[in-house]
Amino acid sequence: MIGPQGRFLLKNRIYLIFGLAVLSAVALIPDFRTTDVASAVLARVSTDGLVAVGMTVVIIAGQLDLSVGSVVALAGVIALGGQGEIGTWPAIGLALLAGAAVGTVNGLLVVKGGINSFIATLATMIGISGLTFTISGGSPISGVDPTFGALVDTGVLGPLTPRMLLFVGAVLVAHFVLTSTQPGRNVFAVGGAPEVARLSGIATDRYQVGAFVFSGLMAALGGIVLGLSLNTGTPIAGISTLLTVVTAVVIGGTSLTGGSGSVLKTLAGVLLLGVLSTAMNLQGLPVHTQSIINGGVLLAVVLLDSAYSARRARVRGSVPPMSGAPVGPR
Amino acid sequence: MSLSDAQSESPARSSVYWRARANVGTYAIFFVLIALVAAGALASPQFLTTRNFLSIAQAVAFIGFAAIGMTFVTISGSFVDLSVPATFAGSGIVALSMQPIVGPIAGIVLGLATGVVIGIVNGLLIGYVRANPVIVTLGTVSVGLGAAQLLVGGQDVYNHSPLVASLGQGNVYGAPNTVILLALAALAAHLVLARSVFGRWVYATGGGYSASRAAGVPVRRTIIAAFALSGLFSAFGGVLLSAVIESARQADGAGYEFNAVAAVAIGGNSLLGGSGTIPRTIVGVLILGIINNLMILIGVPGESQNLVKGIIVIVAVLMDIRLRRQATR
Repeated sequence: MIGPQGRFLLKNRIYLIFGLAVLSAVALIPDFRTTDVASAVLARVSTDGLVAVGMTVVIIAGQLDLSVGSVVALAGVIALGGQGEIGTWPAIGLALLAGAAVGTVNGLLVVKGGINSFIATLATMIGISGLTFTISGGSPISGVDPTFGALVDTGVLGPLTPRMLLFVGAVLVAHFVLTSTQPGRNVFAVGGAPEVARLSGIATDRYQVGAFVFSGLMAALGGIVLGLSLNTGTPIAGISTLLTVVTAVVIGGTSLTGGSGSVLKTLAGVLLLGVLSTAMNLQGLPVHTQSIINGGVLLAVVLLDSAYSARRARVRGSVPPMSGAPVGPR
Repeated sequence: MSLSDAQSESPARSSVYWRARANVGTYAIFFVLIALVAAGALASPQFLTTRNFLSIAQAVAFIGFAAIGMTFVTISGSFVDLSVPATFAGSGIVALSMQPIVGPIAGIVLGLATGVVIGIVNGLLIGYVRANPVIVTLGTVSVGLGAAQLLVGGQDVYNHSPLVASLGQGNVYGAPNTVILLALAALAAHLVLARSVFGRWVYATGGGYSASRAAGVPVRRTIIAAFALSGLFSAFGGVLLSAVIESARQADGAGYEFNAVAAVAIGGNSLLGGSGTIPRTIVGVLILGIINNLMILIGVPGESQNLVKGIIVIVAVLMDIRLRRQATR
């Protein structure tokens, strides 16, 4: 049996793994010991990190959102392409609105249409990427206001840029709402046991749609920030976002079956991936080696998780739970 | 008398009526296919020609192989196999890069074995460790693609065997080899699923895991075999693609996992496991192919084609859900 200390460590293992990764990077890679690296890591993960905050909420609510990468691209193209047409701030507002609209469509397809969230968001992913290519004509669009874009990466609180502050702020707010408010707790109930939640008087449909809208908004925010920082809206932006984000959320220990998870642990997962990729880049590892290591980390964490939950189940004398239950409305 | 007539007639009539309605629901997706073909014939005179149909079949053949394999995974209750890009591109890369060392035929065998190995790794992690299929296959796709790249130092590889080239590019009485092989693969997969004991195990495992295990179905080995088959079929597609274009690179199977899932879902197979058929998957693949073909024929701009495709996927799935709900009501 695992003692209470052991259980505490297991529950918070992501922080432990993250600490070990930072320590070994600092010990093994001389270039890693500068403060520049810390802000480079944070800047690198900010975009995907914003998306990961939204994804965490969707997964806690028992769903999956594959459309986030396409929303990142759409929001970037709208925010940068709209700059010259309607002004910087209105364009940003329009991009956020687009993200919320995609989230609403996803939510309604799942809740009202009864389509599995994997298929519904797969279809919107394909459709939105087509929309983005139609709007942009298939080529990147430059912004007309590069000074505004440069602000995104200018330090305002010491080395902290608005981009990083937005990410850290989103994590803190989402964490507070999820853990300390009634609507936040209800998200866990809806994801963990939808039928029980419904019978307890929670408007489960609204929470599901709300989770998708939040995810769409966060993906749009990520896309806007990415676009502003590059002063370019690219229709193929966000192509690797989905894999990175799902990996970060899962490494953070949020279960794909819904009903449990933590935005703070997602933050640790996102930072862990950032430290890994920064360290590997500093070492000059080729992309394919990095791909093996990233996948290996994901599989290792999954193995650890399954071994842990199987052991817990044996202690209770029951069959190990099927952690691979299909994601989607039950 | 009129009363008794009504009484004796009404149940009979409603039974026929309900049976017809139930069948409409069950075969809804096949009607969708027919409707699409009719729409295509009206929209473009070039649509309803043998040549166009062969080109549609050839264009979707490679996704077809992946979708056939995916069907086993989905029916067995393991949702999806996202490792398709790795089995697809990995098998082609292995087959062509091993060619100078072991010869063309053994190279193909090694390529197919690559897919099976990745599938078995997936199956072990999902069947025995009981880890989530989405996460496991996301991990193996990353490792598998990286390993395949590492094998060839990140370079593209090319075919040097006329035998392999003729296998990929040849035809039998005008029907391209790829289409014939896809038809054979679909037939074999259908027979295995519908007629063999293993096929029953796949349905049983997906329909009720615990009950099947209690009844003596080797659920874990069934899941491993389902993923191994998914790897094998997808590798078959990958090897064949490398024979057709006489080269292989990492990006060869990119997006095929999603297209395969879309085909399985459009065909009306339940993603929750326990039901589904290969003919449904093939219809899903053909619908995807016809949509792509029609958009080109009627001149939908390339940038907007995905927009239309996404909408049609949603409409097809919604329609299937609605019609089947009506049928079971």
